[in-house]
Amino acid sequence: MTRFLLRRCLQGVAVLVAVLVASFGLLKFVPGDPARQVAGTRATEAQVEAIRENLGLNDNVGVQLWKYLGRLVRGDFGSTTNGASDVADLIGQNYPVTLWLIVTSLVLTAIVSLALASSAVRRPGKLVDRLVLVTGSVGLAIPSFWLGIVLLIAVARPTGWFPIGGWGDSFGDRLRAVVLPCITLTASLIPFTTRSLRTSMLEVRQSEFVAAGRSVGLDGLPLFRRFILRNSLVPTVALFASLAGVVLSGTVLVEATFALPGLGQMMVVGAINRDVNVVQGLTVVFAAGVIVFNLVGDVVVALLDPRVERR
Amino acid sequence: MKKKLTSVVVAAALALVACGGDGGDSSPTEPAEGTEAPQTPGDETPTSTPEASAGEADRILNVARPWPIDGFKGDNCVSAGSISMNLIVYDTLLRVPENGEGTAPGLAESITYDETALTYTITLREGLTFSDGSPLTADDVVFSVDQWRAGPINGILYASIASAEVVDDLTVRLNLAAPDALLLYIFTWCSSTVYPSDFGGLTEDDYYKKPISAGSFTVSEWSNPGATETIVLGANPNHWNGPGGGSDLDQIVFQASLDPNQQLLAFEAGEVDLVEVVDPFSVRDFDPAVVKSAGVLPITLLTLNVGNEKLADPAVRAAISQAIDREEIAALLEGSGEAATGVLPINVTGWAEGSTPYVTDTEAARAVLEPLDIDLEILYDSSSSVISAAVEVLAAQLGDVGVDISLSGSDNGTVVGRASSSDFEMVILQLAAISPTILDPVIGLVGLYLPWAQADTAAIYDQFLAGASTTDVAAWESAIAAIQDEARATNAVIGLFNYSPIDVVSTRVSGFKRLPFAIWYADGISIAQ
Repeated sequence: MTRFLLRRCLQGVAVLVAVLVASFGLLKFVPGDPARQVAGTRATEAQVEAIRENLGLNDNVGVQLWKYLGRLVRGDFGSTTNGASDVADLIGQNYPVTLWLIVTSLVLTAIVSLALASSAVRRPGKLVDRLVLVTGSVGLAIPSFWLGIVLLIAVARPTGWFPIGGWGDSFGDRLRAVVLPCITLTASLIPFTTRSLRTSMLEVRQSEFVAAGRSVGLDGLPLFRRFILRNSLVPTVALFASLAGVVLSGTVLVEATFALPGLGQMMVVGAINRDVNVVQGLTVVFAAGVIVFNLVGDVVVALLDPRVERR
Repeated sequence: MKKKLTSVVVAAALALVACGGDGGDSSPTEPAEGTEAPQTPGDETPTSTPEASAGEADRILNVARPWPIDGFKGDNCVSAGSISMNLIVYDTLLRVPENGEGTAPGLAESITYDETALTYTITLREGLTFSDGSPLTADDVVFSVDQWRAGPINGILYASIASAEVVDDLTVRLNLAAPDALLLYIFTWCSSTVYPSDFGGLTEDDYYKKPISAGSFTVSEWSNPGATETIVLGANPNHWNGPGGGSDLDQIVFQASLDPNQQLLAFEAGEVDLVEVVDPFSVRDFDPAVVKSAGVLPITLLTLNVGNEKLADPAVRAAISQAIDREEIAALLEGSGEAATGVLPINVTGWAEGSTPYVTDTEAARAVLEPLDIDLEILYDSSSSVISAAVEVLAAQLGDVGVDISLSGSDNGTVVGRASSSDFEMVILQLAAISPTILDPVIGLVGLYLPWAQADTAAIYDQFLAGASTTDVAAWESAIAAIQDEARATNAVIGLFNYSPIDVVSTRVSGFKRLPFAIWYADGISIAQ
């Protein structure tokens, strides 16, 4: 297991460096001048040039990248281009909201997918199974920003049960604030995991070891829990981990729709303002998040199916 | 297996609980980690604090806005988010009067300009204090002027000041290196912010995180600086116009977020009292009593790159101008705008119309443009629904006279980036006054837009110098009329429409008034319980 973990960690670091270099390069190709964004449209070319020099934008791209990586190694994400805030501080202040959203969404996805897939495979092809498949297709077809607005208009506003955007002070307030965003985010995730789980459950039900289990008198919940569920989870856990990137990118839209002060909105404004340090800093955080999710997924899969570890 | 899964769930729950009490909180009642300045004299004042809000501070104005501030440093003030904020927090030596004409006293009782001696004499009000109770004197003004001049962004506005000297506790003299009648108006601007000497004993960085200031409200909290920031201002009990600038508010809470739909829904639900700057299309179904014109009238311009061979011929540019029906475009704005009659923003002191107004003549335009069979790109900021709607109509109008238009919508950064590199054929740009003088948008025209369009600026620059050397409004009007005519003759920039964004203000709120130049003061605002 140690060698397996070490190998995966090294792969993760390589991916992180590749993402950093690629995103740094891509930002250089994006039209728009960070110095002009800081100076405003009224600034003269001389002022913009002075700011460009101050931000180090006149160095060649290789030097800029080298300096950036050097700072990053020291844990220095730099400051926003207008110098008003430290990027690491901003990430530190904004990450809890995004983490709340991700964790609650993944937990809800896991619970609902498990319940739906289990119900569907009890009688394949019958009403419940068909309903699960159809509602899944609907969930996949609904754009999350539209669903978010509908939930605000049709649920939050008339009932007053949930805030119309924003974050809260207490644990309870935050739970209320995250319910609708969480539903919005999971609506497009649940169909993926439910279908994956349903398919693998159906396959496992036909396997010889399940037949063997039945032959020794196991049935119902014990058979499901010990034989079917554990073996069905392997492909779904892998899928679940790979959906981390989808969840993270989904937070960008959902946070904007529900005015949640998280990393997603920070990323959008950073991109609009051509704030290289903000976008790069968040790219590191998002990439590291996806890598960690996948690493955890690999470990869970290896625990569920030791053959994976030996590959 | 069961234990492992349980561990994962517990770890997730612990992670969430751990997130429960830290800086992710954007609530106005709990200071965020990392944004608090060290203890300062300012912290000991009896201003309304977020902590007090739960029990005492009931009169809270909740403001939703689409943009964050540029920080509290006056030199950084370039975007709409900072303009009003700085004026509320710091106040300025002079203010913009309600009608937008001339200047009104602010921290200074008067400022006089001696055109012969090239000096400004600033006389402060008596008894001014900062929010921490310390007196605001001439020393603080001189310190502040030095900060303005040293600013890499807005410092150029003060380039004519050679030195600032203390005459007595209430009087400061500015010695100019060159005539500059505009400076008087720049004293109303958000970069002309007055700081205590030596930043009140704080480091510069710490000071700008939570400034000690002389405005009607002072900063109680600034959490999550940036896109989703929350800024809580508490009423300044020491303001010269009375506590909170004579308003009855205890706090103003500014919440920035990206989605205007969410902000308007929060307004309808009573969670927000004021939504700043929305487009007229979003509020069609709102009660007219809550929809207020922001009173800001930037002009929207079609800028043509005369360095591009398709647009090098003045006759082609004139025909493009003739093809535009400005009234049809202005009609889209549902009463919040009007057709342009020149290239400079209206409702600004010194504005004057040129002698040759725009004329729409489709037949004449077609006669010139159709035989050329040209295709042109219009670059525009597609994040603005008003501009997006306007360019659709514009493209149709130019299509009618035989120009094949392709629309390139992009974000503001790309538009400004390409425009400033002259990498465009036609681009939609906006021009606004930042102070109560028409000469200041002319700076934008001659310093930026015309050079970006690779057009000659000499004639307009000469007129600008003639206007800027005097405070005589009649002289300004004469210069502006000549500038409008020159622009009309060359058509490197073509006026389209003047447009005022919309503020949505609850009927509970009274005394709110958006003045020209995108600003509003908190003085006199009250909110019904």
